[in-house]
Amino acid sequence: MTPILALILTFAAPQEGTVRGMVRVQGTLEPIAGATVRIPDLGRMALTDARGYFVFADVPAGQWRVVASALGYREHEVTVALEDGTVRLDFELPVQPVPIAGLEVEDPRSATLSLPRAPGPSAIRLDVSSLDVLPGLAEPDVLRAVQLLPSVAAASDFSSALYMRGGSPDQTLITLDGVPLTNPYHLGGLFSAIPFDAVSAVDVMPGALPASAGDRLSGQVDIHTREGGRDRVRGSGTIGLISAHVTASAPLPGGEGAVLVAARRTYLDVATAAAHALDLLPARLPYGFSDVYMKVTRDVGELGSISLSAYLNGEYLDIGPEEADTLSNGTLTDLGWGSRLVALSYRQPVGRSLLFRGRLGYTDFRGDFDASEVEWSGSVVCGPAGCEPVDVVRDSSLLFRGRSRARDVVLGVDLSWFGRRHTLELGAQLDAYRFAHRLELGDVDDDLVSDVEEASRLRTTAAYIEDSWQMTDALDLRAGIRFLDGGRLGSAWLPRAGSRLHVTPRLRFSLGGGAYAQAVRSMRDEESALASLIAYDVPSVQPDAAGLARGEDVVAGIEWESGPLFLRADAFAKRMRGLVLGPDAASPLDAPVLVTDSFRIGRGRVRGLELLARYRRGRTDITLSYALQSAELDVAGETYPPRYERRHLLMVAAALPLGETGTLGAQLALGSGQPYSPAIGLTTPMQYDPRSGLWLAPSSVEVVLGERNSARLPGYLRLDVAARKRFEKRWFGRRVSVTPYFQVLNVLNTRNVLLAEPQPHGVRGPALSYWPQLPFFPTFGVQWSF
Amino acid sequence: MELLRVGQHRRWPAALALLPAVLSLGGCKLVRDPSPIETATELVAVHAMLVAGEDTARVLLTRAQALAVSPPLAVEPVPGASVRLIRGEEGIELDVGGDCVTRFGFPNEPDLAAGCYAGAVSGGIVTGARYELEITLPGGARIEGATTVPEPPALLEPAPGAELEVRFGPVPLPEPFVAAWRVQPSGRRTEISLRAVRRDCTALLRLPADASASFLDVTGSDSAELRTGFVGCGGESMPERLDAHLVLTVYDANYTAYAKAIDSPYAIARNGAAVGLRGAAGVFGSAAVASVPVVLVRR
Repeated sequence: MTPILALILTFAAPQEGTVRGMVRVQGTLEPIAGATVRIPDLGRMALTDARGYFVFADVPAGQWRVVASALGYREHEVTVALEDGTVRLDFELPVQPVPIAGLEVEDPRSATLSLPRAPGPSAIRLDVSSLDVLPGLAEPDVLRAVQLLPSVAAASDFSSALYMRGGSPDQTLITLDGVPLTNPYHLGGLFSAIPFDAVSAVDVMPGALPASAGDRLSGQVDIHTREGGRDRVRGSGTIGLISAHVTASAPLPGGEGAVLVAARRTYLDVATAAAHALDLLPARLPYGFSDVYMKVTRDVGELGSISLSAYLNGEYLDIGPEEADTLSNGTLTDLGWGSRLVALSYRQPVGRSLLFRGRLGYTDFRGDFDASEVEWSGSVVCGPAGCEPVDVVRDSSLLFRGRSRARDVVLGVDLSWFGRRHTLELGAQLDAYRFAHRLELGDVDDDLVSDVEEASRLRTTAAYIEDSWQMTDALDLRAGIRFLDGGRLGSAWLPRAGSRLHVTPRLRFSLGGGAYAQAVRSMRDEESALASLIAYDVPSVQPDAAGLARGEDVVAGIEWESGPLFLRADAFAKRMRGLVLGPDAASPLDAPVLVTDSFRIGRGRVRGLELLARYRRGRTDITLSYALQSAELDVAGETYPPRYERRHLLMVAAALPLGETGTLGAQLALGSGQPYSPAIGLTTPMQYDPRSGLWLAPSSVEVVLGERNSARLPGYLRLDVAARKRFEKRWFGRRVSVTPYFQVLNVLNTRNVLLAEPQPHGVRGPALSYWPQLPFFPTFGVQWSF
Repeated sequence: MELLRVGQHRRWPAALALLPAVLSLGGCKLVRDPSPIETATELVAVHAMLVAGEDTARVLLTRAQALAVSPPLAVEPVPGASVRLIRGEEGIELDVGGDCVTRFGFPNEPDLAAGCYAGAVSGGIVTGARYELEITLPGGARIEGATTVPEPPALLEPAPGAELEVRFGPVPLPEPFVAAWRVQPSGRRTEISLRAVRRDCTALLRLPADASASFLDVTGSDSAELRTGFVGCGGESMPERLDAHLVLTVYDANYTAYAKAIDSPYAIARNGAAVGLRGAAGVFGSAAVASVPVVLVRR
């Protein structure tokens, strides 16, 4: 018998009673994640997990008041009589709407359930259902909402990729229903492709990760989805400027489960085709995107469930001969790409104090790219009536042809044991990765891309064990270890620890840290200009020469709250090694788009201070976040900050009441400039001619750049505003809510800088010209639900 | 803080409405027009190539001029510098004068002779030797560089005296010929070219796209199928047969990196210095040459 199993059996021996159950929404019976359940007379408290489940182990026999509460719901209290045994207690909390800016900081007190509320520096939970009051490009956006947090930054207005605590996006694991999700973006990454209405909560873990968290160096974002209402058919949706989405849910027969479907599609292509047919536009826009999410959940056994979810997103850009002259200067494209995910999850309480969870998932990203250039040939014959072309033949020459595949098959199991002061968790996950990327260049003369032929497979096995211990009423501790076997890349033992000290009921300190390893990476070069414009990763395996990328971090935090005000500060430091970086390139316009064979292995270190302040009262919710960050990469004797780093970033998000049913939203971002390589002079690059032995005169003056990323672009300022008003109607016997909204992005029309391009010649001599970010951009639409 | 109090919600819309106006004052300052590159003309460029076996070293010092428009290209010489070429314990001083500037092709520029420094190298440039360049500018600024002259390549094909077909007009193409060579270490910049023996004649190699080039970059390969390109002599067509050399040139690491960098449309150098140099742009490189006699035959 293994020591671990012996430990579990020892802990699992019943001593006192157990109270467990679920907290759901009254009416729909959807689970409430993160609800607080208390036994005030015993000073015990538990937080529900993503499925609304809670458990109190080792409760003394007797009569006890049990109170359940959650933000946005009315508190509910019941009294239970407990003897030796297990009592099931389900709560149904009535809705008490409080529109907020959607930020939830984990509850300070130790929880019976440990994830994501393990002792240590706090994880952050985003309550997505209330984020729609904030301005967004097209619709409420899950990943853009995550970028509100001080730990997370965006590379530009055009990318919703997550840069967490100075790490690149491939260092942050995004999961949907527990399964990794690859490239959940639309329109190049301008906004995320995650169906907003299907999401219940998002847990953001930017550091000091628990042992159960997946294998990335910088953080993890877990997207939890809704189950759907169990009482009746419900629907909601949005009709926006460029797309529409609809979400519907219905109960399964017998009310033992629910089905949820969310779908979105753009009508840019349809609308522009109609406008073109009416001669209002010179050409239709042959671009489209869509995404669909479906989930079926069914109860199994007592408090158990099984759920099957499927997600699909796709995009295409199909420029044909009709549009090529107008849109692409004669370039024909046949591009299609998207990601898919299927997840099967099973969970079942076992005995009094055990919870088993299992998941089987498949996720992939697929892209097929074909571009060619139109070529015309023929001759002109002139006669008395004039000249006319004859024998005109249209042909095309290949520009590039590519194919991208990234696949991961996941099998994971977790077992949790809940004691009075201990929560022990252990689990394992197998990942089978397969990557294949091919790019064949045709008539393209460009140093920024080259032919690519990359195919790799890897199987990784991860296992962990971790104990969360409420040592005293004031001190919580967590300690665990994770093991990652990365196959040919090697293996790593990864200790993790955390602690939280409740100095007073309002003041807490936390300290945590851990070691991390990563077997996969993105081939995208973060130093290239394209990384500011396109969010898509090109996943691949770490090269054998680099082995597993490794990292360590330490995070210290302090939290204070009083009434409507909450303050939090985190200081962190982390270091990374085995990073696969691109070849030496002076300028982002010079850096290759993909890091293939000519990589360099480097190190990174990041230090930072993050502040989060939140004021919430009634329908007013204001969140202020500030991040001070210093990130550096070391490679080949050179040290430089990554191009996406912002030394200072201040963000303010506010939701304010506008009349009885209206909301005014605003989001302000103020940041210092990102790094760039300064121009330090001009030169005339001559070329040696071996035939004559002469130096050939240069054709132009060139700009010489200085130390890499040693200067800073101008600062960043952007203010987005939004207004919405909800109207309630009764149609066809049902109460229908209609909410028109109007929002303006970059209302100040600030010309924020994307990157600087040195120009050797200008009206006033040599100059830096700046590529702009998002300009003033109004959007509008209407949301509805019944 | 007054705004944060309960019951004061109605003030928020008004306050928010004012916010854009207030912030736009700051926002205007962030509107970015192109900003001048202040230090553009201060950078000195060095161009020097030591060729194995040659007995003269030449160094051109120039400074680019910042102009509003591209052509004509504007450079000015940097006179009055102290330029030393050092090999081991021995050093020579390079002086302005002689035919130095004729090796640097700036046909439309003012006379650059004042920035062209040359000196005789006793015994010639030696293969495998390391040479250092030390320049002190009139203001006291120093420029330093170093290069190791590469080993000469071996040209294995074609055989000496091989006849290479020359044709005029787009079709038919001249018969291709194979050139093969060996370069150590591989990966060094390698260029192949044709050089007519008659000084008034020009012989070029053909590019794939119906054009001719002085030389072709064949870096990384050990053979190539080539065709002759344009051949002419003093404005007249070539004779029936013309003696020439097929020349293979291999460069040092400095020029290898430099040649790659100048392909970039945006930047040619990094960290305030060029390849193999500290304190200047440009390149201090070296090369070794192998050649084989051939006969160009007009068809």
